[in-house]
Amino acid sequence: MIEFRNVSFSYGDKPVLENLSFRIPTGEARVIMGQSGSGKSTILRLILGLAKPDEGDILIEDTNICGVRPRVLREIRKRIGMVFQDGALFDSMTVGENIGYYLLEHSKMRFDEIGEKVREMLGFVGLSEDIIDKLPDELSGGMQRRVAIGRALLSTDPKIMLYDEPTTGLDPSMASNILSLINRLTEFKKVTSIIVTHQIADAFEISKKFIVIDSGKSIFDGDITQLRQADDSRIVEFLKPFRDSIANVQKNEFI
Amino acid sequence: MKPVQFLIEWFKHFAYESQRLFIFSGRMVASLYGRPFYVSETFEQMYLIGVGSLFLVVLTGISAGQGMALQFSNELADFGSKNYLGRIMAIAIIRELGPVLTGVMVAARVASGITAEIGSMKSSKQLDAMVAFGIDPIKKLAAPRLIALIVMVPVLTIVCDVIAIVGGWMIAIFISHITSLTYWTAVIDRLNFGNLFIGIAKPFVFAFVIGFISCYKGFTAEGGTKGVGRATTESVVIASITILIANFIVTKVVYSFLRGYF
Repeated sequence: MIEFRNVSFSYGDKPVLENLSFRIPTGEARVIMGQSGSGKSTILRLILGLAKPDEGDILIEDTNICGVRPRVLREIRKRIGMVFQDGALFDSMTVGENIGYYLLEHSKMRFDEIGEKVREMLGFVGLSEDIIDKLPDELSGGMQRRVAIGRALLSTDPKIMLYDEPTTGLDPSMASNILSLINRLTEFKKVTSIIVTHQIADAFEISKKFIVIDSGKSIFDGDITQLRQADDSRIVEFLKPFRDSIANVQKNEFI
Repeated sequence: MKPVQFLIEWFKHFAYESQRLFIFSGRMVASLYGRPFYVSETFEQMYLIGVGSLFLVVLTGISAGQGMALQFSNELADFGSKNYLGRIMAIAIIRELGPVLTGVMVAARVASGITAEIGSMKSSKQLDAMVAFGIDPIKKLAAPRLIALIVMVPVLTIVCDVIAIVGGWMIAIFISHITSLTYWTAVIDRLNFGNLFIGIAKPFVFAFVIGFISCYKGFTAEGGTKGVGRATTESVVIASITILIANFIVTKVVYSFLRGYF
């Protein structure tokens, strides 16, 4: 379970989040949407403890992570997997070293055991073993994103997965592969997922529930039907270019 | 903006940055203690800093030593004191030129590399990824580099000293026509505790200066590629200036406490 209670955050004098509250039950996926610069990625940074809120509480599995000791925060992070925007792969390490990074750093497993786990993970995320010795720069954007997902999964067997713009910059077929991988993780591994995106069409493929952020404030928290019926001018304006996508989702649900 | 206002703002910024650098340096020193120890990263950095800078330091040492010996031998000849060339070379090289030239050269080559590497890792969110995986980036990235600098800058300084003095010896025998025995006797005469201590104390201090400033600038780089470029330039400039200032302070302090050992 992840819960934000009246969270406010600012970079210097610039407010980013204002009085933000939401709750995501265990095992559910929630898409956070909003325009660029609306504070979406900051929410993920706050959940990971990479930044501290100015006000409010953030609860992860009933633990308030605001003000906890670094050691406690490290333990909480072990239950969270994060896929950063553009992957954030370690560019001086091979694909194998990237995926096995956590095990190399924190476990006492032998190299061949880690290698085996890395190969399994490459298969799980739909990548060939041939790329294990390649550097991230030698891979396509979609492959990099898959490696990043594999790295996050192999790190800690996470109970929570955070995705920051997982499909941005990918072609439609590669984006579709990434979305189905996220769906597979949510359904079969029962992980709580937060997906930050401004790609509305992708959002509808991943989750049935959405949060819309505008200028650091939550202006919507609900499902697709409520989203379609929302009359807040900011939501209407935000969704205007995606009316067809919403209509298609509705149609598919009735079928 | 009025000049006075500009000065006030500049001093405020300077004080703020100095405070942040001081706190960051404290965290770097603290990260040297306790597990995990990144041994392979430390040796890799020692190789990159030590072996990578060797050619530059040798070149600097030989040209500085020969240039100085040539100039001093001409001046000393006017007073009939050419035999003192080895003495002057030993004092000037070991106390001042060796440490400062090596420090500035390493600052130019290594500080830029450290800042650029860490800065671009920050810019591409690799540092955040490290934190997300429960790894302290200061311990993983900054501590190995600081240890490598603490070990390698004094070693490089000794190499520079030796090469510069050998360069002076070549001038002594081939141009100034001083015998090897005279030159080396004068050099060895000045290898006393005071000169050797100051010659080794300075590179230790310079290693900390280069390590603190280059890592701080890398970890605080902002503004994408342009910001990393700016941080890299600032890192080299600030490290070089701080080395020159630290050189004077170390000289003054050591002279105050070890006056009788020179």
